[in-house]
Amino acid sequence: MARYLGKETTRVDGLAKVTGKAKYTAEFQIPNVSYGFIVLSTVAKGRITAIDTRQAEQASGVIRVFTHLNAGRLGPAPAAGAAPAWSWPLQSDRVFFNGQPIALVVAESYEQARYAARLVKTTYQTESHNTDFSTVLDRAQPDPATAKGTPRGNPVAAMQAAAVKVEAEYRIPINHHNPIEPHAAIALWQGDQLTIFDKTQEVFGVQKHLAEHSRGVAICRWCLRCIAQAELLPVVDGDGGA
Amino acid sequence: MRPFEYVRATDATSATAAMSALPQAKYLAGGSNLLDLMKEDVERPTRLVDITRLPLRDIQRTRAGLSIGALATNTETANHPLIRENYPLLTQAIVAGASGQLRNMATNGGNLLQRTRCNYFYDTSMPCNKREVGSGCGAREGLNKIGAILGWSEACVATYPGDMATALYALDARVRVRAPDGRERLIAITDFHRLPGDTPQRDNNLEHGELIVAIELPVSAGDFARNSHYLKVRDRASYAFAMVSVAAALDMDGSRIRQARVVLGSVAHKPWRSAEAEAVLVGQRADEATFQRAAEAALRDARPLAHNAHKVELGRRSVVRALMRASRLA
Repeated sequence: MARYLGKETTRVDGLAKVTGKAKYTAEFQIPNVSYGFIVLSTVAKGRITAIDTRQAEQASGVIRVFTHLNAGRLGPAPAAGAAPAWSWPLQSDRVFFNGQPIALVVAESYEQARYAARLVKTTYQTESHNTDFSTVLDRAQPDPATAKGTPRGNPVAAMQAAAVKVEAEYRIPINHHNPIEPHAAIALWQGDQLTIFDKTQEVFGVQKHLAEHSRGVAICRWCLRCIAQAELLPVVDGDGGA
Repeated sequence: MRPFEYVRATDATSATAAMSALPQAKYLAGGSNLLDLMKEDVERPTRLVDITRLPLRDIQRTRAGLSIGALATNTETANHPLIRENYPLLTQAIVAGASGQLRNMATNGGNLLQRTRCNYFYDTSMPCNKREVGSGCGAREGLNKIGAILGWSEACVATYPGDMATALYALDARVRVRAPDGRERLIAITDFHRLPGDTPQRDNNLEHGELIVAIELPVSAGDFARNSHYLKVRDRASYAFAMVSVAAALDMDGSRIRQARVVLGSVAHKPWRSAEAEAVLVGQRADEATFQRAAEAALRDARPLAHNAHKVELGRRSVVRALMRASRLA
């Protein structure tokens, strides 16, 4: 490890990335591909009371516009009485965050999809939101998965008996990812075989996620391949380095 | 971006005709602001009139001083020997702005017309009286760190962010404008941009269809060549808009100030030329105490918003520092 710390090291894929030779997900050449452009919520919390896609549907090149009204079931059906999960898109009228996907416009070209996305008109009933983390810290709960473990030794006693105690609060500022590669995914159906090209570090995770939870689409794992451009070096920045 | 018609003009007459025929038409020169705004769906022209082929790029001496073509790029203008020698404040201001790549594309006319960078103006899901009359001002009670501290109204607290114009206000520039009927008029630069009042949708006093053909600098602005300074204070050292900027220009007789120009940038809907500060300076010795009094005068009527109170003190100190540098005391 000490051989590398503090030393400039060329990434094996560095040259490819800066010269444009690295192939990113959106660059795989698939015949007859259509393009989806995501419409995002413009409120932080609430419900969609109406979403009007007629103008978007009539725009040049548009094939279909998906919203929570026609997207079909993705992910597991929520337990009776439970709130819908935010992690599967277009499954309810609920808005959980600003910039949440609320519609997908599919068209023959990227520009047509993007333009039609601007024509989707949405009205919301907003609820008050809170994005100030510090005001809700008192409601923080330990993560059940990690809280289960039993402590080794007696931390409380050790702290009490310690000759020197250091107590400090550390805050991490907001981190913004600045990926080189734009987010993209390609779904290629060949008969009942689905190949997904995805911008992911976790190809088997994506495969598992889609296969196990896409009941409305009836995919089994063996029919679903997930392909991502492999990283050639160990990830150093934690977000796939893409 | 909405669909639009593209027309390439060959001369000023056809350009102004193509523009004035449609209320939703816009001129296209460098496009470094307009195209961004079209991609953000803020500007939605139905016709773009490309004026880049018009012969309006020359920078030349005239009897009255200097004429700077509206289509000369920011880079060409900043680097021109006549500007560097006679109006170095303008060079300093231009190169403080944007990036080299942007300055190579951006034209002088377009630079004057650049629109506010207020986040609420840019976000089409937010209320903005400038973008949509009567919809409200999202910045007034919102996140208004980059908002105005002078001259704002309840309808709009946006600022004009350009550096070049701030220097032009200090140099008594005039804007030569051509109407569709071919007649030209000169607009004093201080009358070019507007305050928001209750018409924030209008940034400036151009009539639709009018074409900026040149910016003219008087010979007298050359008096400031020796003692001028453009100070730009911002979060980053480069490629960022000003938090506050100051164009300071002095005409000095030894250590006495004969004439003074003090213009603050990014504090109002237009560059803010401070007659109050200038009145304090004229006839005085150039020293820090005098500059402090001028700075107090410049910001006396400042009314900060919830998130930009720091701009008032920052503005005062920036005025002092700019004057210190202009007078070569610092």
